[in-house]
This record gives sequence, C-alpha cells and structure tokens, in this order.
Amino acid sequence: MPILETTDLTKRFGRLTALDKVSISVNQGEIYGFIGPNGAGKTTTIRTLLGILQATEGGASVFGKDAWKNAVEIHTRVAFVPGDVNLWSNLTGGEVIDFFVSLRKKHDKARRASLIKMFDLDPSKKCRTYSKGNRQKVALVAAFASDADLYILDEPTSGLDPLMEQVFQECVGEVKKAGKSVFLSSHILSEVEKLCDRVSIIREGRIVETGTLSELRHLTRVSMNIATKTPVEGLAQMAGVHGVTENKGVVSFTVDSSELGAVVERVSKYGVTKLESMPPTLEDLFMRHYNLDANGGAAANGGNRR
Amino acid sequence: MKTEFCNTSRLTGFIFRRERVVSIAWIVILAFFCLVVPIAFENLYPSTADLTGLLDMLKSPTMAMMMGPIYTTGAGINIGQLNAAMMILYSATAAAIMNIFLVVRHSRRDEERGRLEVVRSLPVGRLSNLGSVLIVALAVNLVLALVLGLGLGALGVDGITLLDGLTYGFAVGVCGLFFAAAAALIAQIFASSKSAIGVSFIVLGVAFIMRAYGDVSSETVSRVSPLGLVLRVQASAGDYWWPIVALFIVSAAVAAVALYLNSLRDVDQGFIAARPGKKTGRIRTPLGLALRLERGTLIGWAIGMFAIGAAYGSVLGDLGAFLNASDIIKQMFASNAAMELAPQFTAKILSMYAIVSAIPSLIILNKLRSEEIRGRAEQILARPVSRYRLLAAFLGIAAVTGVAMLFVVALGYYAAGYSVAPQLADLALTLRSSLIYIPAVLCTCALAAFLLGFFPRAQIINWIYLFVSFVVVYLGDILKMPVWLKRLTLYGNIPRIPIEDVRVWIMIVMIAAAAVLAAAGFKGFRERDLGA
Repeated sequence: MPILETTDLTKRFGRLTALDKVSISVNQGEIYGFIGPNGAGKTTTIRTLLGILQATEGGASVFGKDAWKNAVEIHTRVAFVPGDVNLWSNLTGGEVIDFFVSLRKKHDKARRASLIKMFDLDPSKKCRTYSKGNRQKVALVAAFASDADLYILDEPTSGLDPLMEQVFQECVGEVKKAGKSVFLSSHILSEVEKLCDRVSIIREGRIVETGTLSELRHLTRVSMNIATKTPVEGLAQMAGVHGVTENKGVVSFTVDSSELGAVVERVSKYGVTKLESMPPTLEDLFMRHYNLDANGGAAANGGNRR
Repeated sequence: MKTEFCNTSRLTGFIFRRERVVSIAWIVILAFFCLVVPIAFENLYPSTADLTGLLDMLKSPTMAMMMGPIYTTGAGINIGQLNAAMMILYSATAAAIMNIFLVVRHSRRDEERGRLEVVRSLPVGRLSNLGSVLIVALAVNLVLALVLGLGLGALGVDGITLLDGLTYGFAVGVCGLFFAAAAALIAQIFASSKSAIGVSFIVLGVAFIMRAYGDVSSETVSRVSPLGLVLRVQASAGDYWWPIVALFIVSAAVAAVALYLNSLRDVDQGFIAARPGKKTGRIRTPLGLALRLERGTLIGWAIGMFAIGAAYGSVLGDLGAFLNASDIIKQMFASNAAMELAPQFTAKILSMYAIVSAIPSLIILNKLRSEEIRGRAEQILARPVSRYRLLAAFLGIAAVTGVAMLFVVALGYYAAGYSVAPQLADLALTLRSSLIYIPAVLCTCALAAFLLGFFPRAQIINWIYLFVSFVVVYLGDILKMPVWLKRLTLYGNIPRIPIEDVRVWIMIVMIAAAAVLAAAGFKGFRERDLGA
C-alpha cells in the first residue's frame, strides 16, 4: 500500500486551475522527487497533502487516511519543511526548534544538538536576524530532529550553501536507511538525481512524466563529440540524431538513447580518433518538457505563495 | 551634506506614490468627522440657552479629563468653542496615530523587510530615506491642517471663522507632525518595527495621561504634553498660535536628532544592542506560543490600562470639591437626582474604557490572521495540531485579555481614587461598573473569531464596529443620537450600573450570541482553505 497517494487531485482557486488531475503515489521507504518549474503546482500539492488546502476534486491520502479529514492524526507521523520559511521575528531559532519538536510526542534531544552542529546554526539569535539559508536550517533541524515516518520537503535546500546541501543529503540518506519515506519537491535537478528513487514532473498543474530515473532516461538524449579519419556520411540523416555541428574536425550531436547502438556502429566504420559521450541528465529531460509548447503559455504565474 | 540626501526628492515621490491610498483615506475620514460634528452641534443646540446649559457640564473634571479644558470668551459658549472642546483632542490623537504608522511603515519596517537595502544600493544618500519620510509626513500634515482649517472655516457655523478653523486645523496638524518626528526618532533607537510602534504608542499614551491629569490638576503638566499643548491654542476662543509654533520647533529639533542618529548607525541596527537570546525554548504548545508572542502586548496594555484608570481615579478628590461647590451642577450631571455624582462619573468613564479593553483582544486575534498569511500557521498545522486547538489558543487569550483589561482599568481607577478620596472610592461598585461589560467584550472576540472563520479578509469590519461603538457611546448623548443607534452597538446595550438597572436577559442573550458566533467561527476556520 502506498504511504502517500493522490488520485485525480484537482484544486481550483476561483477560475484558476492550480492542479489538474494529479495522480502520484509514494511507497514505503522510497524517496520520491517532485519536480517542476516555479508556479507549476508543487506547493499547492503539498499543501493539499498537509490538509492546509481542501481538494476541489479527487483525493489525497497519507498513510491510507484522508489528508483533509484526518490531518492531525496524519501529522503525528509527518515532518515538513516549507519552501518559504517564515519564522517569528522575536523568538530565537532555538526557541522555534524546541516549539516545533515539542508539538510531536517523539523527539530526540541529542539529535537536535547534533543537527544544530551539523548545520552550523546559532540557535541563540532572533529569527529576525537570520538569512534565508539560516531560516531554512531552523526548519530542517526541527524536521529531522523529529522521528517521523514521512518527510515532506518543499524545496528544502533553497538558500543553503553547497556544504549545507551536502549535510542535507546526508540527513536524507540516514532517513532512507531507517526505512522512512521522503517526498521531495525541488527544481534543483542534481539533488533529485542524487537522492530520488522515482520522479514525477509537474508542469502547469499536470503530471507530465512519472517513473524511475532509468525509465525516464529512455526519453533522454546522449551528447556526443566524435572525430573520425574520414567524415561520417549521412550522420545527420540517421534516425534519432539531432543537432549535428562541426568544429575543427570534431562533430557534436545528440542522439536518442534508444538509437545509441546503431549510431556507434555506424561511426566506428570511419576510423574513430576521438569519442566522448556525456550521459543523459535529468536536466535534458526537464528542459525538453519545459519547451514542449513554448508558445502555449509559460508556467502559471508564481504559485500562491506569499 | 548634499550626498547624504542624494535623490531625496525622487524617493519622496516614491513614498507619496506608495502612500496615496492610506494617507488620503486617513485625511478624508478625519475630515469627515471633524466637519460633521459641528454641523450636528448646530442642529442640536440652536439656541444660546441650550448651549449655556451644557457649559456647566463641560466644566466638570470628568469632561476636562476626557476632552481637555473648555475655553470660552464670555459667560456663554458658542458652537465653535463647544466643537473645539469636544473634538481637538481626539482629532489630534487620531493624527498622531496616523503619523506613527506612516513613519514606522516607511522607515524601520522597510528596513526590516530588506526593502531599504535595495534602495540603498542605488545612488541614494544615507539620510535620503528618513529625510523623504519626514518630508512626506510634513506634507501630509500640512494638507490635513489645511483641509480641516479651510473646511471648518467654510462651514459658516456660529463661532468658527476662517482663523478659528485654521487654528484648529494647524493644532491637529502640528500634533501629527510632532508624533511623526518622535516615531522617526524612536525608529532609530529600536531595531524592530514592532518595538518602534509599541514605544511610540507608549509615548502617545503618556502624553494623553499627562494631559488628562494636568487638565484637572496642573497647567504645567498639561503644557509639557504635546496633546495638552495643542489644546492651549484655544480655538474659537483665543486663537493663540504660540503652541503651534512651539510644537513645530520642538518637532523640527526631534526630527534633526532622528536624522543625526540615523547617520550614526548601521542598517538594521538600533541603539539598544541585541543580546544573544535563549538557545533552547520552553514553548511547548500553541497556547504557549500565542502567550509568548503576545507577551509584550499583554504587559503593555495592562500597564497602560492601569495608568489610564489611575489618571481618572485621581480626579475623584477634585470631584468631591466640585460636587459640593454647586447644586446646579449636581442637577445637570445627574439624570437621576438621587444618585451621587461619583458613581456616575465612575460608570461613564468605565463604559468608555470597556470599549478600549477590547482592542488588545482584537489585536491578538488579528495576529492569528497574520500568522496565517505569512505562512507560519502552516508550519504549526503541518504538525499534529488541529485548527480548533490553534484558534482556541488565540481566542482564549483574547477573551481572557479583554476581561483582564476591564479588571485592571477598574483596579487602577479604584487605587488612585482611594488614595485621594477614600470616602468616594468603592471597590465593589467600581469592579461591577467595569466587569458588567464582560458579555460585550466576549461578543467582540467571538465576532472576530466568526469573521476569521468565514470572512478572513473582513476583520476590518470589527474594528469599524468597535470605533462606531466608541463614537456612539462617547458622543451619543451630546449629539442626541437616537436610542436605536445605541442599541445597535454591543456596548450601548450594557446597563451603566449603578445609573441603570441590570437587565439580566441582555447579558444572557449576549453571552449566548458570543457562544454561537465563536462556535460558528471554529467550524468555518476548520473548513476553509488556509491562506485564502
């Protein structure tokens, strides 16, 4: 049974359709990436999963319970990091962390201390004086210090420096080792590639692609640079080959993963002197989905974050 | 010097643009009240005899405390003098509030939100922003003074010439300017906009209390208070401009100090050094959080209410002398001749401050709304906390606060009254006169909860309702407002004991209404999208 599931989840704000039949499901022990451009509906989905917003149509359930009706019960086992962390300006970071963790029964003092150290956070400062990254750390410490079964993280590393991103990835790794599940919304693709078992791409409120990373890579292209003794004939006309350019004897092009074998076979006949290939990245996939209908309206404006 | 103020004029224009709605709304509303009241007076008191009858009442210490001294030219009083006595103090107080918000909004709050940082990265002088804010404040107050002055002068009401009107208008305007300068200074000292507004209001409160005390007991004390000073223009009676000039000079000096302090400090810093805070917290529940967040509001208001109660209570001694001095006054003041004057005075004062007692309650419930909008409520509710529990925490504190304020103001009143005139102070009666408003305060809180549940963007309705209630209760008798209008307000329905009999059924109805509104509010808050 999936830990988290939405079926044809639709959310409308007046005439604006923020989510249109979103169906996702996260299994126990899985790290699930939820990626999409700004305003695509990531935060709205998460708010619905948390029972902050009520679905217009369709359903959202967590631990098999209705996300709206059983919000409080569900939240005893959920940890959440918002994308835009807003804190109480006149409380210190330490006070806020302790308040957050004490709302849940199970929490770990030693863990809190080690997390504060790992994230290099000064908990004695007023939240007013924290930078964006430091506010993010407060939310991360509060989330990882609580012993939850599901971690819902909304762009958790925005504002963190690369060192702290590393620390964050370690935290997620530990959580995964303990058999917990993570729902990670992000637009930082390297992070998703590193961490996630499965990925959904959302765009303008609709899920456009779902699958494991290797499944999705079938849809991506490999970049190649080759040099051959004699020019390769008819390369540009081959199926699956795109964007052939030549520069000082080096031919660059991209090729659909499914056609890679045929292309290599053909090229090898011309005496290869240089062969470089760049693996397909999620980035490529992502970019392609962005550009699907570049004219058909850019991503919906700015989400509903304040 | 020139570089310090580089691009001030452009920034000034920019602030005007951001201000255009709010400041114009303030001026229009203020002008509306200031211009409607004298017309109403003229209709209500057409003959000299009507007015002379009022005079004795206006000369009572109660009225002096509430509205300031009355200035007349001869034995009688005209509409202009009545209007000045009733309205200048409150117009000036409103102008002060407008200016405090105006200045802090564009100085410390912009700085705190990081907007000023962007502005400062442009070719803009270090003092340009504060300079622009002060220029805008000067302009807004000048417009306010002229609108009030010319408007009053043009009314053609008996006793208000153009000069009288302008004296009134400029008294109000210069008072506003003083508080703009004071807020600018305070905003340099404290590093958060919340503290800057809080401390500015403390200054306003102290000015009000000094004037209330001074107008009965000491002319000097009144003159030290800016609110007391502007009443000394004696609009429609003497039209003295020296208080206006004096306060203008003081304001300019305060503004200069503010600019100087601004030039000394770094962005985002104040002059009160930030101490490192607690590394660990003791807040465990939403209730604890709400209490911690509103701690300052609670303590500040409790002290303020005690002080204002004490200021009024301290007149009880003068009241005794006043009472013995004239039988006619005794008759004038008491609708029930058998009653003593002191309990009546008590009931009148406490009825007004019962309405004020609801303000901190509304502030606390508004806080929950801002928690929601700023996305902080979301972080609490993403943990195992129900929406009922969150609303209950804030509503509970709001209700207890309102009741506590009723108690504190009565206590302050009694304590000061007892120290000056033990024979006139009556603890049980004082407490009853104040605590009888508990149902009305609870109803106000419940209405706020209801709005939060169903019409979260319409909290302003409750503020307007409370403001109208204050006007009706405060001015209702003298403006001879119809009884039904009084009945429409919560507070007008509560009997003023001991003058009126307690009507138990009204209390029961009000408490039942509060329960229903609150229950509906909970339901609405549970069922709606947050952040909507």
